[in-house]
Amino acid sequence: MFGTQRLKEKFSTLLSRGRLFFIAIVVFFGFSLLTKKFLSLTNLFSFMHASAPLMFVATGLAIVVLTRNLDISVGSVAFLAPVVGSTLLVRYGFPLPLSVGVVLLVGLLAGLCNGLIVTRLKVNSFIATLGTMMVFRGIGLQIVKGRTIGLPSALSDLGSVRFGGFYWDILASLVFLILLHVVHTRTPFGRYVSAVGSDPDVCRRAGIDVDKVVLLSFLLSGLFASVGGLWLSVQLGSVSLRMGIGMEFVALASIVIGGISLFGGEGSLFPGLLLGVYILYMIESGLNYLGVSPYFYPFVRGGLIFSAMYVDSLRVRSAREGKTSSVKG
Amino acid sequence: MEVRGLCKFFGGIKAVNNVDFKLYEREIVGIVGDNGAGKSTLIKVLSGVYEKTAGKIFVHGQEVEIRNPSDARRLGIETVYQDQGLIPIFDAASNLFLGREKLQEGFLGRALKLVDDRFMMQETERVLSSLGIDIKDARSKVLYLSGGQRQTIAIGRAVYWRGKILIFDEPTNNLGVKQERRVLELIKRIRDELGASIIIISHNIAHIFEVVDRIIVLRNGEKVGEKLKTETNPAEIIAMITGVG
Amino acid sequence: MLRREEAIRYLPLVVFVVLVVILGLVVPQLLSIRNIVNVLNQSAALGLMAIGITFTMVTGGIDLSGPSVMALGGILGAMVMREGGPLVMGVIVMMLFCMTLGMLNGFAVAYLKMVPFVVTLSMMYISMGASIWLTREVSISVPPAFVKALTFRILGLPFPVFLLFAIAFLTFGLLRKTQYGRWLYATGSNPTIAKILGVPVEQVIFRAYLFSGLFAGLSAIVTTARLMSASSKMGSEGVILNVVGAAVVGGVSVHGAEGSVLGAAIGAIFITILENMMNMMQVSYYLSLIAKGGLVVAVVAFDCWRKERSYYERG
Repeated sequence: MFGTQRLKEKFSTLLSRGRLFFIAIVVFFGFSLLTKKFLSLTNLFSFMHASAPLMFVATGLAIVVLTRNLDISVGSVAFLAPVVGSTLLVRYGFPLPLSVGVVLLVGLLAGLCNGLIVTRLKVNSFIATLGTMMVFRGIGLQIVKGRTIGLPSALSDLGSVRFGGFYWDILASLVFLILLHVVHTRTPFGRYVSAVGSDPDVCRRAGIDVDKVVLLSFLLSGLFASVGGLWLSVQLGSVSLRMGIGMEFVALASIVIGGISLFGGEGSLFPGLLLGVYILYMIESGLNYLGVSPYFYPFVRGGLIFSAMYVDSLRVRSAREGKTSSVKG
Repeated sequence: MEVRGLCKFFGGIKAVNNVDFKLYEREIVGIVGDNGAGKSTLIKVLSGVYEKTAGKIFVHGQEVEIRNPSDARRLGIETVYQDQGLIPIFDAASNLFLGREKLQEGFLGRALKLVDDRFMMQETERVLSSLGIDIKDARSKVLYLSGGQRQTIAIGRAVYWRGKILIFDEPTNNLGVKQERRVLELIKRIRDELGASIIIISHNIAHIFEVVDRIIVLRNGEKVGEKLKTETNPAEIIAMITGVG
Repeated sequence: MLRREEAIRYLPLVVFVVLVVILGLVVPQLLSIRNIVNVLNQSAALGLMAIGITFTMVTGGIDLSGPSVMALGGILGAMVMREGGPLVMGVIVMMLFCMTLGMLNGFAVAYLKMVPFVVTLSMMYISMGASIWLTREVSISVPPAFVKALTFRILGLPFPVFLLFAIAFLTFGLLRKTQYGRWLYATGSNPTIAKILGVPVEQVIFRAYLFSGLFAGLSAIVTTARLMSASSKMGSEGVILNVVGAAVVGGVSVHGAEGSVLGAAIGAIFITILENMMNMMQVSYYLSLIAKGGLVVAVVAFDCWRKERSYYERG
């Protein structure tokens, strides 16, 4: 009797952990059955390549979400940072390494800005980053004055370097994700991130500097958003006005698919977020092959966020009910 | 009121374990105990915030079930909470009548559930002036009043709704010396003038000894002692609370 | 009447008014009757939504989905009318749909006890997605009869303006004088005590989100009439920023239990005035984005700062 109980517990943990793998495989084979073109290595590589910029952005955003905050401005940062960098490069003839450095710096500054508003001015992170989203985009648009900036071909060629179908930026995005995953799971900072997301009050009382953790998470988000934007512009060969619009939406959708909770504290980058990004892209490119209009995608993303939230809330509620029963009067 | 074998368990924690006591009219009983002894939990069960796990409660000889605060109120049990339980942005009248607002008569009033502010303010002023509060203060938002005034309004709320059994949770916490005095005098007056049965929870033994007629000591959720005030002294009570000596 | 601590809440509004007056003196056309009427007309939709969000903010929560639900409702109503349905049907569809989504939000927040922020955020995203999908980013035009019916003028003022004022004052009065109004503010101030005293807290919160949906519906009607079309742009992220900004400028606190719908409506009017002024002074679109974003963040930050201060003073 006791043995079967343990067995059942183990099985359900396995199921919930492996759930994402399960979903990924289901989605992949499901679509492969529906369209012949899906099941091919080149296809796999092509959407992994296309999702690389998003992977960067989502990785940074995930850290913020883990702390029970939001960063809606990542799309605008992914726009602003390359704008500044490419303007310096193309219009003012700055050397390439310096321009890239500036891109990263802009990302960090944006993150700093967000982080300070949230931790110092104590503004709700959604409202704060919604505001900065507009401000950053406004600044970026002002700089380019409504024109698209084309990048030198040498740079844009870099974006499509591949080894027999395998794009090298897939590797880069994976490396960054795993790097951050290691930070999340092995460093004190990473553990504080999840702790703060689960229960900031308890953390404060335990002596953790919650504000510093949150600030750092926004810095990372800004930095990664700028990398993602950089990569996107390299892939496209230009910096356009609408770049990054809606990116936070897609990133958020892939984050919730990846099992990271919008309520904070739960979830992992690897394999969680990794699979989340790929599953989302698989769904979208699969739908594309099936001839579904791309206007359906936002609805898919919205629906995913919506349902993931309800599923997630059930988990949060049952955990909370477990907690209150042991509280004394 | 009588309580027999009252228990309140939270999972494995026995917050209140097999407590018996009786409460008579026109008396003040003090329930004392260290932190975590179960005093708060006990009164929360009596006021309906928690539901009892086991035991029986009798009011006027009849067994009753108290499953929620409305049940308690219906039995005439009114509570004055720690931190007063007042809404800071409301005036005294709105606070007094919160949850039990008097609605206006008339077709429009009833359809929209309009509140009868005039009636509520009149009643409030009546109650509060008998308790010693200036009418001017009764009209201002509660957050501008002093702790003692707020406490008086909270007490006024319990008294106005004809509480026959009044429970005071730490009534003298966070009050200045003069205000403490007034509150304690007020509680005694309520016992004498209204004949109410009063339970006071406090960890301030001096205050307890000032107003109560009987003392009940809780420790670790169980009743460890019950004495008439006249038959005991603070040292003995403290010994019972801590279990030492 | 208002003590110092409370008056401070209205500081941003005062600043706004002063700003408007100064700008009005510098650029006289801004204060022309025609322009003012125009601005009031524009602000009707924002004002209605600011009133709606006030309900949820007073309870300590928030409804982020207002604008996008409004857009979706408007789109559905427009589609119904495009297929030949009667105008009344269009109006009913808009109202009922927005109210239904409001009830969904309300149910999740009040009865399932979920965090309002997340619930309404995901509702915002799903309705944004639905709007884009249904319209393929093309505006759906609305029958001219509909536009005519809703934009007629009374005493020189367009109907939506009347609607805004009438509803603002009515709602303000009702919230002050009704049992529900008392319960709403009590719930926002101290839900635990309110519940103990017998206030049906869950019902109160549920109805707050229902009202939010209701006002989104009203806003949908007014907006589609003014724009003569319905589009997904009506619910873009920038709009919710304006709505929150309008409410907070008007004295409604993000932390709950403070502020009035009248303040929110006034806040909306002044934000629209400022927007209009920036427009007329030919401030570049980009700069106006920066200004709007920065402004709302500043106002909300002020609200938080004010709360921190009073916390300390109260001891």
